[in-house]
Amino acid sequence: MSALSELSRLRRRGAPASKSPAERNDGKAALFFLGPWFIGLLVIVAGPLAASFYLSLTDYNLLSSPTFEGLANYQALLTDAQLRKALQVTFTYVFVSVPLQLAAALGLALLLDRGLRGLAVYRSVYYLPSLLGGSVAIAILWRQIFGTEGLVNQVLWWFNDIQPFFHIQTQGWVSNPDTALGTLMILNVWTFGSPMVIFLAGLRQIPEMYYEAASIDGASRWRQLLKITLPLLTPIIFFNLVLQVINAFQTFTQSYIVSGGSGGPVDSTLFYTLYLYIQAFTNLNMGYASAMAWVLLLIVAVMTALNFFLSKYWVFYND
Amino acid sequence: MTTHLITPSRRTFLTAGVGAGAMAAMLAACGRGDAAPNSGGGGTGTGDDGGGGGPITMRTALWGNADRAQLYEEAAAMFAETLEEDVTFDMSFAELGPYLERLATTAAANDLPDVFFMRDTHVGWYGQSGSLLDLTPYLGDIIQTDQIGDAAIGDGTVGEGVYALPTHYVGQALFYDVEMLQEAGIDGTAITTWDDLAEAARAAHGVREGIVGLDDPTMDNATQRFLEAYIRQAGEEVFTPEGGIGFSEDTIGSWLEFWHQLRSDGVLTPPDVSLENDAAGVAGSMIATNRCALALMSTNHYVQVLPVTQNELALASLPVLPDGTEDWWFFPPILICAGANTQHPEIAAGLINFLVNDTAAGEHTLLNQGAPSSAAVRDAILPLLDDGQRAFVEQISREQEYPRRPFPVRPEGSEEVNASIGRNSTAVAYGQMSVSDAASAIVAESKAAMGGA
Repeated sequence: MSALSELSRLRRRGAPASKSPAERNDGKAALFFLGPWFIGLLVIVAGPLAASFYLSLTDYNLLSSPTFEGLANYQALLTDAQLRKALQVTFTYVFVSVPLQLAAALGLALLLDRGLRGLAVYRSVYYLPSLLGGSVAIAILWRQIFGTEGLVNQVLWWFNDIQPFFHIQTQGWVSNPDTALGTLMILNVWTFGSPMVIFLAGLRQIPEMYYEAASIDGASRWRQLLKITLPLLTPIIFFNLVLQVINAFQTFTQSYIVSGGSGGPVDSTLFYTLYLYIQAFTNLNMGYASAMAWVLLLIVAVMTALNFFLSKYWVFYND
Repeated sequence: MTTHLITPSRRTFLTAGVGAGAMAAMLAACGRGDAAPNSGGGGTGTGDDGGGGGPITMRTALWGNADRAQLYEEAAAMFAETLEEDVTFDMSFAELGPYLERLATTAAANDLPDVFFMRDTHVGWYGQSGSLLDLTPYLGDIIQTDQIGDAAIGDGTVGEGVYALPTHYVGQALFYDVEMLQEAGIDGTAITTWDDLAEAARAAHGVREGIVGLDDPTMDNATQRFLEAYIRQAGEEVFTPEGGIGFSEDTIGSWLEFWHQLRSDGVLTPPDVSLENDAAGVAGSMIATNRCALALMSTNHYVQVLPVTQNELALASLPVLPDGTEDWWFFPPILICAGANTQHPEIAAGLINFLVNDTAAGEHTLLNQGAPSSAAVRDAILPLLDDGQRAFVEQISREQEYPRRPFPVRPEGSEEVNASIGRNSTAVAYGQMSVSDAASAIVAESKAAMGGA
């Protein structure tokens, strides 16, 4: 007898002979309340997902009917030089700006965790950039700040004026291909408020007795940080890392606004999502853009899986 | 364990069902806006062209700002007053980029506006796909063509059909600061060749503190019209009529080399400043803000620059290659077309005719989109224009007298070609690429974008 049939037999044996009217009504109520969500899942999520996957197998320019061409779009991805550039830009951004952002968030959370008066105000103020950082307004502001006559250059001009020893060359930081991506990384680091709040919550969960015991044993604050705070905070660091990596892979608005939708100068801010958008809505290569979307999903899934796999080597769960 | 879920009774279920139905009806009403019973919303109205079908609402769309939208909505209302039917034109507008994206998605849903403006860069795609109404049956009947000529019909011809017509034309021009060139000892009216331009730029650079000789036009990511002029002067085309690449590596190389030399001489706008100016728009351009002595601009920008500039600016034709072709002249058209899905093709054709040919429409909209394509409209509005506006129209009129070979409609993939030219030109400007490498890359990438043609 197979395992499946055995399982089926056990279920039949365990099941009641018949459901009561109240239980049947419970089932209907569950269906009634789940129905809208289930319809939403099918229509808003599953349907477009399936359509997107089908379109990724077609040549589709939005204006004519899609024509099936198998894996041609995926094959074209392999030889697309601009896609390679977009991947390079995106991975550089993720690998540099996310650790810096988390370090800034953790550093400030540690400072704020020292029982400051008016903590709620500080927390709100520092959280604000997280709400605004992805907005069009801030991207425009960033373009101004790092422009040829922006705030950064004005400070540098002033600095060059007041001392004769170091002359810092000013330039349009956003419009220079060597520095444009750096300005967007700074913008991402600036939006440290969201992980900072989570770090603060995590710090509050660490029992005070560990620090008291360490103090009695003569451990310095630095040693307490390394031996108590950071190990016990690793689940929170891991949580923030996963969220921020996924978030960074989806960066779009900042590069779209700062580069005027081109990913320039010289593709230096051509994020993966921006290149996908250009393919879809500027070049009208919707089939190709759909294939790109699925590859992005795969990349994010692999990166997340990798994070989870590596977490067993450095994340300490106190249970 | 007993669960205490609230079980909906038959009554509550029915009540909820009725409520959901009412909500759905309200949402549907919201989705359709305040469309009249015979609304043409989405080109799906049911009113007939013969009259007697009740009020008709037709959708129109253009790119630009609210002022332009209002101007054209008023012009459309003037046309509506001439109709027997009760027609309302509902105007929507957006900046160019979002406008084109919106058009693409509405075309995918077969929901294009009834009448809308179209870029010459995209008419080939839309015409080929069957998204646009073929205006051929209405030419010479509802739509008069005697004042716009065959070249205008060619601007909207894709394959066998005429899918759009130009309401206006723009062109390419040289703007120069009269006083700065005088101080540099240069006669602006004598700049006729590219070498003349380079000489003037070198002379005018630094004529006043911080003044740049010539603004750098090579990093523009949009349409690369100046390069297109240069390519046509060299006897080539950016795109062939068959939809392939029509320019050579030598020609694009000589264009990049021309600008590279000027950049090496230090008389061009620095690349970072140049890119920032692209984002600042016409009013923030180097020439409008009196930071350079010479600039290549779209001819129609002259009327936008004059009100904001402090200095006296003059308008001249684009420089030419001394041994180049004489029939290179071209004038990017501002096209108007109708969605193939319109329920009122004759009214749509009538509105197109009105905006192309009617002097009342021309007198109302003046030069908002360029110089009118109709010679009669152009003549009619001349007395209404100020000196700067008249200079713009007269330059377009004068240049249109020159011989012109056909201006091929831009094929699918043209946006990728423009992006490639802009990207590689910028790399040259920043010293990240040699001129020869950039020319090779542009040709290779452009051919790839056009499917190897």
